[in-house]
Amino acid sequence: MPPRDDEERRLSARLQTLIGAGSLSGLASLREEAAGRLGTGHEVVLAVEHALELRRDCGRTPMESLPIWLELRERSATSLPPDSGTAVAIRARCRRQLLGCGRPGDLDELVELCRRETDPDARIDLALALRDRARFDDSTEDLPGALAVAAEEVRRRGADHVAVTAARRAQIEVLLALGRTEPDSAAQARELAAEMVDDPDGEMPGSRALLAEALLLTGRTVEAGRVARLAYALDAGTFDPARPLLVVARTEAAIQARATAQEALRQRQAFFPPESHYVVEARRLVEELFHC
Amino acid sequence: MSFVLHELRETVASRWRRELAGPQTSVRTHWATKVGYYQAVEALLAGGADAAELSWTDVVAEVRPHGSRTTFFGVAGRHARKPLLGAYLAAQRNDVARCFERDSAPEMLIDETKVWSYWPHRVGWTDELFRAGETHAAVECLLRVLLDWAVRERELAAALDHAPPVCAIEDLVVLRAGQTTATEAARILREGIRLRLADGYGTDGVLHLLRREFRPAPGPAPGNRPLARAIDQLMRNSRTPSEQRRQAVAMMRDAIAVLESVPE
Repeated sequence: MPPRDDEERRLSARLQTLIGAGSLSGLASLREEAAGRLGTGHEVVLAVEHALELRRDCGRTPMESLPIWLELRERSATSLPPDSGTAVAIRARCRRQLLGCGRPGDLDELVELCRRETDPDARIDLALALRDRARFDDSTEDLPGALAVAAEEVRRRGADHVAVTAARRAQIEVLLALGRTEPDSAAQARELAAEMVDDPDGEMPGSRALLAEALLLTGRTVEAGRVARLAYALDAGTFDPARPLLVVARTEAAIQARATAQEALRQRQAFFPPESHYVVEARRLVEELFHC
Repeated sequence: MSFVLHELRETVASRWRRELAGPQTSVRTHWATKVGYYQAVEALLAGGADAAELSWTDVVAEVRPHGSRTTFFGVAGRHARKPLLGAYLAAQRNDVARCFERDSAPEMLIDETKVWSYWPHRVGWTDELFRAGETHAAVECLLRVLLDWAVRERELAAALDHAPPVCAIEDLVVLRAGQTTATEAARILREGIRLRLADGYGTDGVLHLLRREFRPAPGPAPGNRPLARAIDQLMRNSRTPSEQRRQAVAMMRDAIAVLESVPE
């Protein structure tokens, strides 16, 4: 048995405490201290960097975060075995930045990365990447496969509520994409999103936006507007807070709808790359509303 | 939090550990002997030994450079010198002592080994705990640190039906300031370790489940006061941006439509 390294254990416990306490300055100091004691390639040091950059992501756009995570991924690949928990977590965060950037090239790269990964979270990312790629050309070719992957992950994750919710969210996202042409998928998305909103353990951020979209797809326009307005007010500060505005715009009268869609476009342009599906979707809606 | 930190420095386990690993030479020698036995237990469990079947002869054979019947029963069992269980009983903390009363000396040794193994994690936890701010965050930090330990020491953590290190039970009782008994704390921590190791939950999944245990009991219904306050604030503040006012009006109209459609 290798000798116990109490120093490493103490640093790891400090990391867990700082994550629980949500202390950004504490993580920054710990990073310096741990690197000095253990060396920059040590797993605990890279785990601290993972936690630190995760916190810093809150104040950055995906475009700003992506190079930081790519660099961290490179460093972790040279120092850690591929199946170490920290290396897996860093690669997962890197994939999330590609998903957040949402440009066609990012999504193509993400699909390839996910297909090479053995981490179960990569399967969720694969389903989401396939769904997002279909937004550019309205194709549905990849969506049945994406749905199967997400549904399988929901089943496989057993009772871990947090893990199941992540898979369930991906399942709903794919159902919403399929629901544009398949009423049954839209109805199923509505049912699952309503369950997420009514979760007795507390609603997951962003689930109201999914419900609003599902309600709109199934023709319950008034209710969709109502849920989307609440989602916009309640989900401020979450990823893509402008998403419910696209539903609100579709439920409003022409002049107000244009203003709402323009606001959604303005917010998305400020956060996402111009070629991303986020901006493309909002711009399409603005153009549609101005031409009708 | 500073008072809690003071209390955590003075728990029974802290004082016991401080005395044993302290400067007094005779006690330090005993501590070194104990550590030799803890390392032997850790190695046996990591090598696949069944905690329930572990005998004193197995442990003695594993001790390096060598163990003996005399030193084994000097560090473990009812007649051991300075056992942690004895420290709890002497401090009249029978509530905590009851959580780890065992029939056999090897099982008692496993309980102490858990505390010894967990201790560096506890030190790291207390070093940063001043940043936690509130009790619920401090509890969350404790759970995170405990789960981190359990993942690093899977076999030891799983031994004796996933019993937590007794010092963590005592710490949780301190943090909860009388709202959680030692028996409840032991059950919650055991459940956390079991879910993380045996049932394949991630750390976030375990924390999500355990947070229910610490949720305050629902208070009386707040009535319409929070709503009235928000409306009052909106109406009084003439600097509220027009877009925000418009959205507020839309949400209130939505609420009126829903509330008026509900039958009396």
